[in-house]
Amino acid sequence: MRKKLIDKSKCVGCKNCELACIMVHSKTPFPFISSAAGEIVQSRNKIELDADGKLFPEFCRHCDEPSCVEACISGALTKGEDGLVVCDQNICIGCFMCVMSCPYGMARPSVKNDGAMVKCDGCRGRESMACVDACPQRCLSQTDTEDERNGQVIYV
Amino acid sequence: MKYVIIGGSAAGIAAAAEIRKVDRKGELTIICKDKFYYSRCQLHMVASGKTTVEQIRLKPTGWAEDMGIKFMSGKTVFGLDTTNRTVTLDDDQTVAYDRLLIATGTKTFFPPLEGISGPLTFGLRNLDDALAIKEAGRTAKNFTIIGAGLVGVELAAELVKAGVKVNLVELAKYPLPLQLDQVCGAKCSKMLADAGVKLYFGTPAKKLHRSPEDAKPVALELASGEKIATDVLICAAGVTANTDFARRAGIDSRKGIIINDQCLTNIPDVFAAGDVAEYVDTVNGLWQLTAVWPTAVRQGKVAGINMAGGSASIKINTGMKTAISVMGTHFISLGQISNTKPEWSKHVFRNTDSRGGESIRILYTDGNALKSALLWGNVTDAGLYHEAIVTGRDISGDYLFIEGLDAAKRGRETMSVL
Repeated sequence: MRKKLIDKSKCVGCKNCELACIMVHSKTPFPFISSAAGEIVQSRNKIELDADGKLFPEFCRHCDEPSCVEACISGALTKGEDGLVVCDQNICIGCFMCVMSCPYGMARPSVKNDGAMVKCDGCRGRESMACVDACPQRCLSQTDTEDERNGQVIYV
Repeated sequence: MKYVIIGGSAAGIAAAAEIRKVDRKGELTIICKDKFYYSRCQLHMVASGKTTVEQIRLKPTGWAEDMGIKFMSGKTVFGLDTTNRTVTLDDDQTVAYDRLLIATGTKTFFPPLEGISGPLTFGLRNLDDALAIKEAGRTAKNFTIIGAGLVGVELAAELVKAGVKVNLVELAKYPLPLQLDQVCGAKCSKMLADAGVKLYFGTPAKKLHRSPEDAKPVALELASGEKIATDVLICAAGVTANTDFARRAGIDSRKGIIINDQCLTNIPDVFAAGDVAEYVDTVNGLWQLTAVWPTAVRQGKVAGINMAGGSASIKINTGMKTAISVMGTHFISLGQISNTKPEWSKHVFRNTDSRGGESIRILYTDGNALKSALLWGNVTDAGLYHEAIVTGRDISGDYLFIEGLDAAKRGRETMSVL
C-alpha cells in the first residue's frame, strides 16, 4: 500500500505540488492553456500557515474513519480497499455535508460551482502521485508499507 | 448471537455494516418500513421530479443478501418484550434477539390545525411521502408548505424550480430561523421570493378549508384572516421521534430514547441510535435529538461496534450543523445562531471575491473559544470552523480565525460588531 510521507520542515512554499495537482486534473497538462481555454482549474491540496506561522502542506489524509464519508448523503464518497477516499463526481450532488465535516478543510466545493465537491483522489490509477513527483524539496515522498491503517498520509 | 436492528436508514445500516466487520456469522436482521436504503436528505428532489428513486438508492440491490443480512422490509414493530427478548411485528410475527438496536427515526409532526386530517396533506420523511407529493403535482397547482425549516425551504426551492406555485408559511419572521440570523434570513427570503415562492412569515396558520364534496384542500386560512389557495398541504413544522413501542416497553424516553455514550438505553442489550435517540449535544450541553445524517451514521457505528462486543463511545455529538443550498447559494450553519448567549461576542465579515460572489461570515466567540459560525456564500473552510466549535479549543493562536478577527479590529474588512 502506497502512502505519502510529508516532512513539513522541508517545505519552502513553492506550490509545485498544487500546480502538479492542477495539471493532472485538467483537460490539458498545461494549466495556463486550460485556463485560457475557459476551464476552471483547481488544486486538491494547498500550502497553509500553521498556528506558529510556519508553512504547512495540507493534504487529504484519507482517514481510517473519514468524517466526509460518514457525512456523505449521496453515497458519492467512499473509502476503497486501496485505502483511498474518493468522490464519484457523477453521484455527488454538492450538498457539502463533507465540506462541513472535514476537520482538515480538505473536502472543498468545486470552484466551477457545478454542484460537486472536489478532493484528493490519491492519484488512484496513476503510477505515482503527482504532488510527490513535483516536490523539489523532498518534503513529499512516497513509501510502500504493509500497514493498512493510519490513513494514507503520514506527517513526520 | 442474534442481532436485530429496527430501522434501515443511516443509523441502522451503519450499525449493520459495523457488526458485519467483526461478526460474519451472527444472525443479523433488519426490520424496516422502507423497501430499501435510500438517501433521506434528497427526498425533496424526488418530490419535485428532479431525481429518480433509483438515483437516491444508497446500496445496490442484493447488498443485504451479500452481507448475510435478513432484510424484512415493509414491516413495522408493534411490541417489544425486553424480558423474553423478542419484538412483535404488526403482522404478529415475533423475532427473537440477543442484542437490539432501535433506529426508528422520526415522523412528521402534524400541527393541531382544523381540517389537517384528510387527503392531499403530506409530510416529507419517507420515500412514500415524496412520491405522493410528486403524484399530486400532476394535477395540483398550488402547494402550500407549513414550516420554513430545512425540509420546508429545500422543498419549496425545488418545487418552484419544477414550475409549480409554492406558498411558504412560517411563524418566524424569516426562513430557517434556527440556522440563520436576521441579515442572512432576509437574504434567503429575497432569494426565495425572487424565485417565485410566495412567503407568509410571522403569522400562524389557523384552518385548512376543504371542499365539502371530495374533502380536498381548497385554502389555508392564516390567523391574520388571509386565505391562501391550496391544493396540496405539506407539513414541515417539526418531527416526533418514533418511540411508541419503546416507551411501552419501559425504555426511558423524553423527546427521544435516552442513550448513554455507548448508545445503550436503560435496558441491557437494547441500543438506540440516530434521529430517535436523545443524547447530550456537544455544542450546547443540552439533551436533545440530533436529527442530522452524519450524527446518525456516527451513532449507528458506535452502536454497531458495541453490539458486536467491541468498545466505542460517542465522542462528539451534535445536531446543530447544517449545509444548505438555496437557489445556488450555499451556506453552512454551525452551532447556535439563534438563542445566542449575551456574553458571546459577534463578529461579522463580508467580502466579495474576484468572481463577484458575495460572502458573509458571522462568528460568535466566547473568550478564546468559537461558539458558532454561519458561513454564507463561500463555505470552503466550514470544516475547520466545525472542528473548532465541537472541540471548544483555544483559537487565539489560529491564523484562520485571528486573520479575520485582527482584520476586524483594524478595520481592514468592512465589518460591524453588534
